Amino acid sequence: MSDPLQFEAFMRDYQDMVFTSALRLVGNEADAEDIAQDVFLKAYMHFDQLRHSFTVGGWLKTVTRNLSLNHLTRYRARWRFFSECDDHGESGEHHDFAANLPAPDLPTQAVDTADRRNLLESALQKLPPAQRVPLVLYHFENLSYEEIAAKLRISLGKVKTDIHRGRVALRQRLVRNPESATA
Amino acid sequence: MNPRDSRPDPTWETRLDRELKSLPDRPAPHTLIPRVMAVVQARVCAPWYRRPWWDWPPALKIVSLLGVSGLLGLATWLVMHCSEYPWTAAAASELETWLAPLNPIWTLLTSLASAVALVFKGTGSWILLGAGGLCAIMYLSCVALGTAVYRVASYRRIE
Repeated sequence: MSDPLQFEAFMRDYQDMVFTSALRLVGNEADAEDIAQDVFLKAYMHFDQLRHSFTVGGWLKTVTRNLSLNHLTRYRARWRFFSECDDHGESGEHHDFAANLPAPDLPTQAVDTADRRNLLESALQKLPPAQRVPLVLYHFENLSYEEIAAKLRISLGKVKTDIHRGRVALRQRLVRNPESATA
Repeated sequence: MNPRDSRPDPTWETRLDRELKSLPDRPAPHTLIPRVMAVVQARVCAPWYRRPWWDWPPALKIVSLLGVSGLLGLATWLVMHCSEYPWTAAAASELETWLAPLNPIWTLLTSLASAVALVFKGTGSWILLGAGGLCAIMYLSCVALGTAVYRVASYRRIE
């Protein structure tokens, strides 16, 4: 059995990374905390090997991603349904309008770096899961389109469409309504 | 990027990727470590018999393996040699007394089994095969229909 004190120190080193990875995928702090707890309990089971491993960060990220996707799978039918509604409601001219908006200047002079990051993080959290999840897997987890399609069990075309729509939605939120994005 | 420029920015995706990757980690809630450590402490403090078998002390693992093997061996030996002992006949008659109220049910079941066996003997094997095939087709139809309904109800058309 591993030493709990050493494990607590280990947790302090990695808790932010695990929690943030889960939060960006599931979009909910309470769920992210539950997932982080499960990740660290799994880590505790393998702590004797992990404590001396150089790839412990990657191991934790992979377990976090898998547990988060398992969590999302439980609600998959629901967010797919809403994604379908979005397809009907936001297709056409609205989509084209957002795509043609000028890209926001992310390093705006008016806001400092911390505000800009808060703005972006908040806008990301406000995306619907159908757009946020593939976007996070692509940009944060560095998965390819094919890997995302396999993980989410959706078609390659849908992955590309959802990521594109996620980026457009981010742009739209950042350009048109920066105040509401931080609210 | 000039905000007055109405053309789409071709470098937007690259810049967005860079910005997203530069986002710092969010601080984990202060309750996370206490929650995990409480579960860990509960596991550490739990007596050995409440832990999973692979977490037992090695000596207890060996003893438990030997004990289970011995019990299985004893049960096998008893089944093979129980008829050699007079007490088994007494136990069997006592068991028969307990089960006496169930005798009508047993008689009914054996009668039904005999009737079914007679029907099977009276009909050709091809009829039995046909009936079995029909049952299989009905079962597969139910599975296919259920799957189709589930997909229609739960899944969206992706493309």
